[in-house]
Amino acid sequence: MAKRLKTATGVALCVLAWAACGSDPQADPDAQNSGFDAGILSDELSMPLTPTVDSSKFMGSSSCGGCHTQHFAQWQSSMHSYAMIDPVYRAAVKVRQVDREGREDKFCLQCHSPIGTRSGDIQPGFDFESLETITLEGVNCETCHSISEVQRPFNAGLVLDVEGALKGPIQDPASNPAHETEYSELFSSSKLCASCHDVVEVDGMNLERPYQEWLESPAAQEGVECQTCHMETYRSKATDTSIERDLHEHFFVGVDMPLEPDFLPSQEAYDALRTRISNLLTNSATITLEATAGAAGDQLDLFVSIRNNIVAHNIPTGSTFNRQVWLEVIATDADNNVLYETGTLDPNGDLRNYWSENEAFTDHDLVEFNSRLTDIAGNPTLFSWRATEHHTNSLSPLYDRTNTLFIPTSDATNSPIHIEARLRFRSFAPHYLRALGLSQYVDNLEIFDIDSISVDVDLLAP
Amino acid sequence: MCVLLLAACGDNIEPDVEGHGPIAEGISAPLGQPWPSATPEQLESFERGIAVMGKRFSRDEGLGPAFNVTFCAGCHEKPVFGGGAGHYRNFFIAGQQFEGNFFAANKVDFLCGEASVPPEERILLPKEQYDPPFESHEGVVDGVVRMYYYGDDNTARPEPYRFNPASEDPETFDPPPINVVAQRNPIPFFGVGLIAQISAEEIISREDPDDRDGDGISGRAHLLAGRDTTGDGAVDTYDVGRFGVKAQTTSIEGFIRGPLYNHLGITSDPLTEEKRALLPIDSSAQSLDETASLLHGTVLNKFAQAVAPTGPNCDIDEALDPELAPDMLFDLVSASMLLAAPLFDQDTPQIVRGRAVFDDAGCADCHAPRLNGPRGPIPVYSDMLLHDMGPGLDDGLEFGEAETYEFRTQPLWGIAATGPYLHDGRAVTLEEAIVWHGGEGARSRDAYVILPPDEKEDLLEFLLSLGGREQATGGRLLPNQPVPEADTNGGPRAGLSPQELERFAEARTLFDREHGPKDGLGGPRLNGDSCRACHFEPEIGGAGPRGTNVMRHGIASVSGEFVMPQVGTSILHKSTVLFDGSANFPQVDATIFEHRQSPSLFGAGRIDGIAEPTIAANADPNDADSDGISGRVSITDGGHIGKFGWKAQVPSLAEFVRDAVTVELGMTLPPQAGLTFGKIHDNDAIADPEMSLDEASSLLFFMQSLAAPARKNSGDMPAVIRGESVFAAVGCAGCHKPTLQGADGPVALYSDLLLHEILPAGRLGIEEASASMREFRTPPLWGIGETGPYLHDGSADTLAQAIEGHAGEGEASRVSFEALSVQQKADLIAFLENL
Repeated sequence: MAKRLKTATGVALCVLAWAACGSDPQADPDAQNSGFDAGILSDELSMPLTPTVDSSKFMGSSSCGGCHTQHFAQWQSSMHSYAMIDPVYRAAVKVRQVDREGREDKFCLQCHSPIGTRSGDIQPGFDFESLETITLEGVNCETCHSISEVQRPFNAGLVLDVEGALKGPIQDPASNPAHETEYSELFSSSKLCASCHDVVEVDGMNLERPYQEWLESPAAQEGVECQTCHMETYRSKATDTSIERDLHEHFFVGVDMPLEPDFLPSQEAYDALRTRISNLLTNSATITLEATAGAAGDQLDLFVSIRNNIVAHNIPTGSTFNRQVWLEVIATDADNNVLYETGTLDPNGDLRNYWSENEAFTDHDLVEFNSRLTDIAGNPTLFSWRATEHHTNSLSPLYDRTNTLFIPTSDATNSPIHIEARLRFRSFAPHYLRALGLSQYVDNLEIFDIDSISVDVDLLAP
Repeated sequence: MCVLLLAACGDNIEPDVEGHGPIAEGISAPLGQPWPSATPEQLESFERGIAVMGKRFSRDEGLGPAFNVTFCAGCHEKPVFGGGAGHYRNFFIAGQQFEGNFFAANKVDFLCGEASVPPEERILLPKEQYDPPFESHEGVVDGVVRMYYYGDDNTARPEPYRFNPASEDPETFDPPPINVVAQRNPIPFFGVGLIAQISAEEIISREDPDDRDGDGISGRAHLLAGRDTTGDGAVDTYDVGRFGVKAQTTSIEGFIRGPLYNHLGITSDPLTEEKRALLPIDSSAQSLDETASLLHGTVLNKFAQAVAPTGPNCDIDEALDPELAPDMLFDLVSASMLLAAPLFDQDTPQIVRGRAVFDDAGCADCHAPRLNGPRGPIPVYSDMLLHDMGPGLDDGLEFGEAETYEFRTQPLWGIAATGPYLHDGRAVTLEEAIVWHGGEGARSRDAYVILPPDEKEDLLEFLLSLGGREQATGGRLLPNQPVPEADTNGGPRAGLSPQELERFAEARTLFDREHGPKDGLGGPRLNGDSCRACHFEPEIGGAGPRGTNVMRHGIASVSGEFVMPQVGTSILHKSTVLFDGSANFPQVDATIFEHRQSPSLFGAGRIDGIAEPTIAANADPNDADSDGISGRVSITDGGHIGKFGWKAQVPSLAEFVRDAVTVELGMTLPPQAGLTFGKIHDNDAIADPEMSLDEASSLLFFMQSLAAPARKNSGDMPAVIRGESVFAAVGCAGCHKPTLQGADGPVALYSDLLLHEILPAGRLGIEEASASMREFRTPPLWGIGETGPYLHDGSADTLAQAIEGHAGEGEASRVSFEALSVQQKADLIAFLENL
């Protein structure tokens, strides 16, 4: 009985949430009730029970790459092409398949492969190994360039116009024999990205909300769109026969290094990607340190402020429940004795918080910027579908958060005290990969330093 | 059981009060008023009983050891004493459902002595000696969850599920100690005396358990087993339950003593037969057995039993049982019995039309317009029977004979002023309450849904005519309630322009207004549903009693350091708008629990105007002057100095508003340039932002404009003057600085707004912003005479107890205080109370 009640509530919330964000459930009363058919989660637009697109109508990205060589190559090394390959994603989907007995198998897929979800390739109980090629291409060329409309700015709220012209941001596209082309202002707008980069869980819980953050940010007023930073403009030809224009990089640069070692063709490609990520992350936030001079044998108060320099969204954003942004502070005396440390890692490479398998809760001052999912019993959980609440402390645009750390100086033998602080980023926590049975990838995780700073503080005479 | 009873009843008289006919005379009055027919003697008892309803019980008087609220009227306040309350007074009931579909009594650990034994000789008997076998508790739900507890071991919360976080495998859950949790919203009890007078036969006559008449509505009386009068070993008397959402109780006395114990931790003995005979409704010779159910006490402080007691009850605290004086209980029961039936509006054409719609839709089939009582037809709009309300309302709890999906038909009288509705308060509007009917109510619900709009309006008009309309309020402010005078408690500061006064009045209404789930209340959990919920002592804008404390939690690492839980320190909210029974659990690892009492906001605007350098000037972090008092500034986001909050974690009143709106109300706000507090999104399904900046700035204006507490300067002024010099001599002023320079002159707040270590060394507490575990901001003392309880956790009932609670940097002053003569202590307290 309780189970049934819970399910019913889920549907109600789901509908409510969508209604609240602009779509109009009143328009089609049946749409409200079609959320579950035999318990299968569905959505008329993004998770239809019967196919709404024909996968054979899509050419596939390599066809596009025949002419659009640069963009194709960029896309190939991007996370959009990794969307259905990513072992972390695949493992998480498999956990959800088991947990939900297949009823919500399309939920993640609606964004990771809009084509496969709408073509009927993705069915309850599906297996990644037996999917069509076009599905496994993930967010491919035709997925984005077929978007004619964004009906809701989350949960794959995009409308795929399969029969129509391919769409893009170029106002006067050249006619060509390969395909029809059409200008769409949507392609210069953050709303296009919002259709998949904002995610609301089945029960209405906000999961990922970079677009909502952007709407509330100064960037929205200033006309800084997602594309401004994540698809930088460069001057080149779209195809060999095209005229030179302002084009947009299709690396979709973000923060993720693929953990799969064979995804990119060469070590150089990995290095180039690392550089792009590093350029984006470095100085996206700054640390300032202020210490009150303390007496030897006591403690000094260290005020650490972190400012988010990004004008458009929080740090971190997107899948904040996976992301790790944390403050590392190490204080040493003049004789190099370590007096204090926070944000350092346990032997497994994990932060020493709740999830640490051998040193849980030993880092009592740990400052993290991320979000935490908690289940109905109030306990942290790794998976959003097991969660009833999502708490975030990510840093809003241009916000400045101050933390006070107490550095014990009783063991200091010599002044000054040297304090080093780093704001660090990692895509996933090692324990998360282990929980997914992916320990072989733990060594591939990389840490990027967003900012680092140091200060020397003289001790007062006791 | 049924057969027995019906046989005992013999031939029933057919009810002759179908329809909405005349009603008994002398029973109706505005909400909260006594029967017009009450005698002068009864009226005196009524007044005394109302005073007991408002009495805040102290710990010395027996409050607790664990509790939800400190006074009856805390949960029965809306719109007046005797009513219900908003979502913030919701509470939880927990139980254990076992395979085989029975509930276990939870944590029953000892039995009390009999009432004939003097209190000091009562012995608590171990459970093993007297407790019947486990299985015999079938049908007993035994767990009002008590939220507050002052103790070292744990706070009063249900035990959460436990599981292995490394695997997150649901299979590794230990058998959950609690697996059913349901919410309850306090219910109004207007007219209960009249309901008590209705005979069992009258209620039973409306039963149709097998739906013989085929109207889709069965309805059965909740029969309560009584006593064995013949001595043959078999129970042979019964009564019909009629109080509580599952009609689980038959006696008003029991239904008062139960909550007193469950929610306040106040124990009582049953009234004597002689006293019962003197009640407005003679309640002597009750049919229920008292010797068979000597009441259980619960050692584990987290739970109290939800059933109404018939025998004495007891608990383990410093106060002797019974903690409630028999006369006070008599007055409470008497006043409750005397509460009049809500006074209906005069008929209008629309009301008459609405009444017809009510009948046509089948509402009257359960919400019976009249029940026959000894005084005549009682317009209760309930049949007092249990009905299947369908899976949507099923709360998972069996109460006595009532199934999880069965609820008593809620009386509709006074409904205009007693929202929110349904057992857990999920319905804010009457329309919601109607459309969420299921089961036996489904047919009427469906009939309602397809009504044309004008007929819906007629029906609503009829329902609103059933009393209380004139008293309906969006909060606690009654219609046209005047704003307190300038420069008095809860009033504006002097010198506001007429426009500002008008804005103050509007803002005060907003401060008072209760928000509902549809407004985005809760994220989805909440501590209050309005600002006033926690700030009303002694006037709106003031402090909160213990029952509105909020809870912080944390984890002590192996080395005794504070670790913040993954969910933050303030997750232990009081209530939730998740109506699927989800309770508010702490994180399993939590080992530190700390109450936070709601401080008064009087004069907050003056504190807001104190410049940061003024505060910093008194800081002495390294105790350079060696006076034993250091004092650190609290640095918050953006490098601002914290001024508000027990840990000085909030830098300005504007930030305080944002913080409180999101943390306590669970409502989201738009971002505001330069401000860092407040959440802009939460976990409920309501679109963010849930409160506008206009509303936030209105709340800010109200708090900024609240008058600062003014010295009373009445009473024993010589003692007050002597007390002031004691204050200085004891060293209180070392931290409680009499004045700080504000934006418009000196502010006599009696605080330096700095952080001081005030808890004893080794005590574990919550770290927050700049403040370490044992550090707190010096709380301002102005107005302290009227804003108890005291200390950050509200653990002190009296100012003397508060002073005795000082340690750390306050140790020297406390020792000096303890060395004072009785007269000097009294003078100091007189000085403080005058502030």
